[in-house]
Parts: sequence; C-alpha cells; structure tokens
Amino acid sequence: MNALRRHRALTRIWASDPGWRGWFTTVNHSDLGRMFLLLAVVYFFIGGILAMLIRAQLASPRSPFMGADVYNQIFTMHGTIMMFLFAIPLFEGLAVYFLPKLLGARDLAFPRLTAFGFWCYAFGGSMLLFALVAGIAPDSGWFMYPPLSSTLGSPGINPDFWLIGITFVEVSAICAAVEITVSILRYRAAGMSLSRMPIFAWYALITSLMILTGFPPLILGSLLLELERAFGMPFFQVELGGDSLLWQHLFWLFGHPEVYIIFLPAAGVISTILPVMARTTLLGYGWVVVAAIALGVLSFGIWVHHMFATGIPHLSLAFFSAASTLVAVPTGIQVFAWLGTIWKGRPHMHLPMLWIVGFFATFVIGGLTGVMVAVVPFDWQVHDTAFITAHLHYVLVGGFVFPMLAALYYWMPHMTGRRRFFKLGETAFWLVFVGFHGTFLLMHWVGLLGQRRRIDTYDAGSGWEVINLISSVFSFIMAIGFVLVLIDVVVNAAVKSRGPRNPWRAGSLEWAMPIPPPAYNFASLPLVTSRDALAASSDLAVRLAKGEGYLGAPRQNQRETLTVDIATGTPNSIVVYPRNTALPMLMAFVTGGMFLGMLIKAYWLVPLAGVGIIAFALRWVWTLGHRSDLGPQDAGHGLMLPYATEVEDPPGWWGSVFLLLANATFFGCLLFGYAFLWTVAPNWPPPAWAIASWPMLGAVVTGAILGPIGIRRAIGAVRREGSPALALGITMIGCACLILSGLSVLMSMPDPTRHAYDATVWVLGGYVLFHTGLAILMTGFLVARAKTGFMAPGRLGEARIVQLWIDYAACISLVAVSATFAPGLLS
Amino acid sequence: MKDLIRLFVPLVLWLASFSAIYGLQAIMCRQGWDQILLIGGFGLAIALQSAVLLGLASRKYGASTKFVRQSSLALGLVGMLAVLWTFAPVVFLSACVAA
Repeated sequence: MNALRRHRALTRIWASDPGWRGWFTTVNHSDLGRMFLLLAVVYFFIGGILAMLIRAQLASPRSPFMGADVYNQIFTMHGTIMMFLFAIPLFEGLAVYFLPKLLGARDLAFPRLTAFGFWCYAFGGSMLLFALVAGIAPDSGWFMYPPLSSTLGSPGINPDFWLIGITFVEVSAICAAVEITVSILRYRAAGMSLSRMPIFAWYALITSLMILTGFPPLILGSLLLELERAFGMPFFQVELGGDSLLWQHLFWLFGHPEVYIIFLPAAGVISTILPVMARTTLLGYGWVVVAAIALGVLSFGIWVHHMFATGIPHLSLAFFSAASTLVAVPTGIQVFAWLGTIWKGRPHMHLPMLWIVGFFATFVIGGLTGVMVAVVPFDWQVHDTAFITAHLHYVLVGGFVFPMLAALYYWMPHMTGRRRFFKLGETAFWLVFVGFHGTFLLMHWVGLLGQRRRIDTYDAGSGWEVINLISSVFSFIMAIGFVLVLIDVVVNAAVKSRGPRNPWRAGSLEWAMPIPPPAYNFASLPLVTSRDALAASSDLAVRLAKGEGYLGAPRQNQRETLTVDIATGTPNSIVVYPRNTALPMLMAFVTGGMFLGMLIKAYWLVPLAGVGIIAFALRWVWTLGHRSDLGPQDAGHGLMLPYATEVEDPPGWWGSVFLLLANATFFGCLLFGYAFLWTVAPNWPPPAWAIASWPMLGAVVTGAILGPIGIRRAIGAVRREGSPALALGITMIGCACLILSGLSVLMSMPDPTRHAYDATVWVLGGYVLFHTGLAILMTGFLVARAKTGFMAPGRLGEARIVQLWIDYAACISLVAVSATFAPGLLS
Repeated sequence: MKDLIRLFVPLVLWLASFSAIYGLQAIMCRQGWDQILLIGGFGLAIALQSAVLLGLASRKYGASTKFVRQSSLALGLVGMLAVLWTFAPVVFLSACVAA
C-alpha cells in the first residue's frame, strides 16, 4: 500500500461525519480541540468586553455610566468568565488538540469523554451567558464569599447561576484532566520513556493532576453553599454552627492552585517554543521537570495567603507566608532555565518570540509583587485594593495570555497549513503590550493610594482620577491590540498561501505529519529514540507516511493506536477507539437537565435526568469489549500485542484510578470542612450528637467486608473459568448493607437545618448512598456482562474497574460512619 | 507508576505534614494543649522526610533509571528544605495568638 492509498484508507476510517452532523457526533481530538479553543476565545472576547465596561465606569469619578447593581454583575462575570470559561478550557483545548500529536498517538485515551467534556463546558457556559444577558448574573465577586453570596446577602437566583453553572463546567475540567493524565501516561509513541517525553507533556500531566486535586474543594464548596441556599443547611451561618471562613478555605484550596493550573501550561508552551526560537534544546530539562513538580505540589500549601486579613493566629500566618515565598524558588529555576536556553542558542525574533519576551517582562513583575504580598505586613496594607487586581493581572495575563498568543502564532501554521502573509501581528503585539502595562502598572499605584478593588465609583478629589483615566485609555489601546490579533489570525487563515511542513525546524513529533493534520495524525506510529525525535531523524515524517512505523496497515476499518508502559514506553497493547456518535452530546444535555432542575428548583427534573444519565452511561459502556478472545495482533515490525480489552489494566482502569483520586480529594475536603467547623466554628457543640446503634455498625462492617471480598471472589471464579454469579450476589448483599448504613446515618439526624453538624452528617450520608448505589449499578452491569459472554479469564478489565469502585465505597462508608458517630462516642 | 510515585511522594509528604501541623495547631489552641506538640510534629516531619530521602537514595526503593533517580532525589531535597523553611516558625512563635 503506497502512502496515498494509506492516507485515503485512514481518512475513511477516522473522518468525522460530513456536514453539520459532524459537529455533534465527532469524537476526534483535533475537532474537539478546535471546538474547545474556539469557544474559549469567544469567551475571552466576551470577558474582554466586560473589562472595557469596567474601565469605562472607572475612567471618571461619580460616573453615571452604570449603576452599582449592574457593575457588580459585570465585574463578577468578568472574573468568572476569564477564570472558568476562558483560561482552563483554553488549556484543555490546547492539550486536547496537541497532546496526541506531541506524544506520537492517534487520539486521546477516551475520545467520547473528550466530547462529553466539551458539551458540558458548552452547556454550562451557556447557563452563565444567559444569566448575563438576562440581567440576573452572579454579583458577589468571582470568589463568592458568603454571607454576601448566601440567601442573607443575595436572595435572588444570581449566585445559583454561578454555583450550578460553574460546577457543571467543572465536570468538563475533571473529564479533561482524567483524559489528559491517562493519555500522557499510556498513549505515547513506542520508546518514549519518561525522560524522552516532550516537556509540554510534563507540564500538562502536572496540571491535570492539579485539576484532579484542586477542583474538588470548589465543587464541594459550591455544593454546600447551594444546599444552604436551597434547603437551609447552615454550613456558613455562624449562629447555627457554620462559619463563612469555611467557604474561604474551600475556595482558596482550589483558588490558589488554580493560579498555577493556569500558569503551568503556559510555562510548558514557553519551554516548548523558546528552544525552537533559539535554535537549541531546552537547558536543564530535568531541572525544569523537578521545578514544575515542586511548583505544582507547593502551590497546594499556600491557600491561606489569600486570608491573611481574616484574623487567624500568627503562627498560621507564618506557615503560609513561608510557603508563599518558597514557590518563588522553582518559578525562578524555570525562568533561569529559559534565560539560559536563550543564552546558549541563537535566538530569532519571530512573532512567537516577541510574545515570549513580553511574557518575561510582565510575568517577572507579577511574580515579584507576588512575593511582596506573601509578606504579611505588606499584604495587610494592600489587601483588597487595586494593587492586588494589578498583581493578579500581571500574573495571569503575563503568565498565561502572552504565552498562549506565542502558542497561537507558533502552531497556527500547523493548524491551518498556511504561512503568515500579512504582518498585523507585530503591531498587535505592541498595542497589547503597551496597553497592558499602561493599564495595570498604574493600577499598582492607585492601589497603594488606597483605591479598593471592585468599587463601582469614587469621589472627585480622592487623588485617583488621573490615574484611573490614563489606565482606562491604555486599556482600550490593549483591547484594540487584541482585536487586531483576531483580524490577523482570520485574514492569514483565509489567505491561501501554503506553508512548509515544518516552518520552524522544530524537533517535536507534531511536525512529523502533513499540515493541516489529517484526522488520524500519523499514518503509522513512530518509534522514538530521543527527546527530539524529528531532529534526530529528519525523514521521519516521510517514513511514517510510507507506513514504516507501527500499525501502518489499516485493519478491519478500526481506529487503532498503541498504549505503552508508563516508565519505559514499551508498547503493551492495541486500543480500538469508538466510532463517531452523538452519545456524549446527548449525555451532556441530560446532565445539563439535572443541573437546570437544581437551578430553577424543579427538583422533579433531577431524578428524571439521573435516570437518563444512567441509561446513557450503560449504553456507553455496553458497546465496549468483545464476546470472544481475539488474541495477540500484529502491530508491525513483528510485534504482537493484545487488544487493550484483553489486558488486566485497560485504559478504563487507569481512568477510574484518577477519577477516584479526584473523588477522594472531594471526600477529604468534606472531612476537613467537618473538622474545621468542629474545632474552629464558634457555636459548637451541636444540640445533640448522632448516636450509633449496634445493628447499624454491624451493617457497615458487614458491607465493607462482603463487598470487596465478593468482587474478588467473582474475579477469581472467572479466572478459574467458573461462574461468578454467587460471588457477585455476595457483592450485592455487601453493597445493600452499605446502603442501609448510609440510610441510618441520614436518619440519625432528621433535621439537617438545625445545626451545621446535622447538615454535615446528611452530606456524609448522601455521599455514602451515592457511591454504594453506584457500586450496586456496576455490579448489576457485571452480572449482565457475565451472562452475555463478555467476561472471561483473559477479559477481566471491567471487573477490576468495578472492584476499584466497590473498594472505594466500602472505605468511605467506614470513614463516614466513624466520622459521624465518633464525636457522640467520645463525649 | 512507581516512578511517578517516586517523583511525587517527597512533596506530597510535605503537603501532608503541612496540613497535619496546621490542623494540630487548630486542635491544640482549641483544647489548650502545650506547644511542645507542634515542635514534636516538626521533628516527626523531618524524620519522615529523611526516611523518604534515604529510601529514594537506596537500591531497593530508588528508581533504576538515571533520570527518575536524580529527579526524585532532587525533589526529596526540596521536600526537606520545604519542611525546614515552612515549619521553623513553630520553634519561634507562639501558636494561638490571633493577629
């Protein structure tokens, strides 16, 4: 088969559905990456328009431009859109589009999950956009502090849009994070060991792990605040045992890592592009990886530095101040590695490099003001002033937007297959750069003069007038620059000026394919022997097109790629991807129905949508697997590999492991919140503690033993070619016992509105019931799979996935019951 | 997966120690316990971090590839420095005085 025939055959297999239908049924990562990126850019411009409205309002004292009510919605939605609907989805889009290409794979681990995540983002974002247009948008600031955001401060529906809409969007982020993590660990080119991974993949891996552990605290916080608003469960009401500081803890447990979740992908982009622009390799690859890991983990230990003004003890301030200064060290290592890379290379000032230089100038200032506010006495002086607004814009615009614009211009030839013809981009850079510094450098000054953030107006004679006016003028110059970038991209993408395959002479794998990329990425999959695979073998693209790599022969119209061992990159199975389907979009739509039901208080819709989700989920998983053993298959070069459905740890098992990591973080945060209220909130102890009964304790212990034992015996029975029916029955009984214990927890505290303890017990009980219900569903699924021939000694992956969830349900049931009754027993 | 654990465990341990000492401080102030507990916690954190560092340097638990071995040891040292830098205030400051 020659290269052209291979291309035609693979295109037929991998192509999305033609016409408008393709938008809704595509599961291809290039399509979905483009859709993520496009929607994120749309939100960026919406958020930008809101920013211009803010600057118009603040340009003069006592401005009649808009009233306080509207202004509050505008600045809340500006922050919310930029953080949740632009920055994170843009990273997801970038990773979804480029990771398989950088890693030498044909797609991500779970294509349907990518699509589901996109549609959750689209639907969740639409909810917030509707609220903005309808004039009922959230208005309590993007971090939604209660009591301002609780029914006491905001009785209307406005905060509900934020709490429910953002949680819906976060479902998308969690899906993407699971997807990206598993893809980086398992879906790489043959021979791509950890030390040969593209540097962007390291950053994306760390970022995804941070999303999995950083987003659950906010999901929990949003759930608790919505429960308080909708049902009066008093988690944040001091007089009933709650504490508004709990929200601040949960929010910033998410919020500070979020800053690094935004910065790290940008740092990955710089570490990828900078060496190419400097005609060299990245200086200190290993040190950069170490610094990125250190930065990622250390960022979880500094959330309280957003709460320095809340009156916490001196010692706590010292802990978090010390940790906050510490993060400057790994950041500094990366900056010096980049400077060293420029030093050892021969840098060319192409447009991406111009944006990177802009990044250096801006981000370093933001980093230094970050160290300033890490010092407690200084923070007290500038807390909640425009100085903080300026600092965060230096970090986020300098540390994210500028590198992403570098990425845009670096990879635009790859996405469009065209060279840049018009040179508007350079003018746009200078307008944005000068406009940005003119806007925000001055904002430090006005903050030091005492201007508080988020004020809708100020008096003449305050000394802030001229500064604000200049700041507003420069902000419009910056806005013109961004519009010019958009025009530049559209015009250049439209002009048919074909570009060379590798215009920057980069060494990474994404340039070893035709541009714009075909739906299958690589006609055959590469064998990697060095970090810069394309630099090491300049004819790699041609050899791959000729089918000289792995899986070069299309087989049975299947979409195939390889999985590898995590550490060494040795190929270990062949994955067959699903076909185009509308299932992810439909499931996201039904999931949206559940969130909508909660938002408009149509609670009948919630269980109805829940049933729909279960039905779609069963349909989703039923289509996987085989009824017979297919055995090892030829992957090329004489390599025989099993299908991923015939290995012990299929991709779904890894996906479950990382989803459970996020889940366990959620549960850990719930326990933290409980401990926080118990030890710190003023109105404790509650009127009464829950009292344990022996039958209930017996049920939870029995369930926690029978469930895990049953599923293990079922797997053992199948392995011995016996029937798993009895063992699965035991598993069911175990799960039923756990359900009983969850119900007992709920019934021990009949009124969850009485005290924060009672409300917490209800959430613990609900969490147990949800997971044990899920375990029962999964066990039932296994029974059906066993009956229909999907389970066999060589096909135990599904059972091992169910085992993970049953073990988890057993563990959390034991912990939840202990946590519920321990205070009563101790007192 | 073991290599990934080797890379992440030193700083995840620091994070666990950090959270534990912060939590211990809250309980200690609530119950009126002696501050020596916190200093003990500081000592325990150093001991645990040292154990991880020694483990990563050992033939039995350390990585076999040069890249992961060097990176995990560097992260082990970062973890130790993080413990020393962030927990040192327990020796010098009073625990329960509110700002």
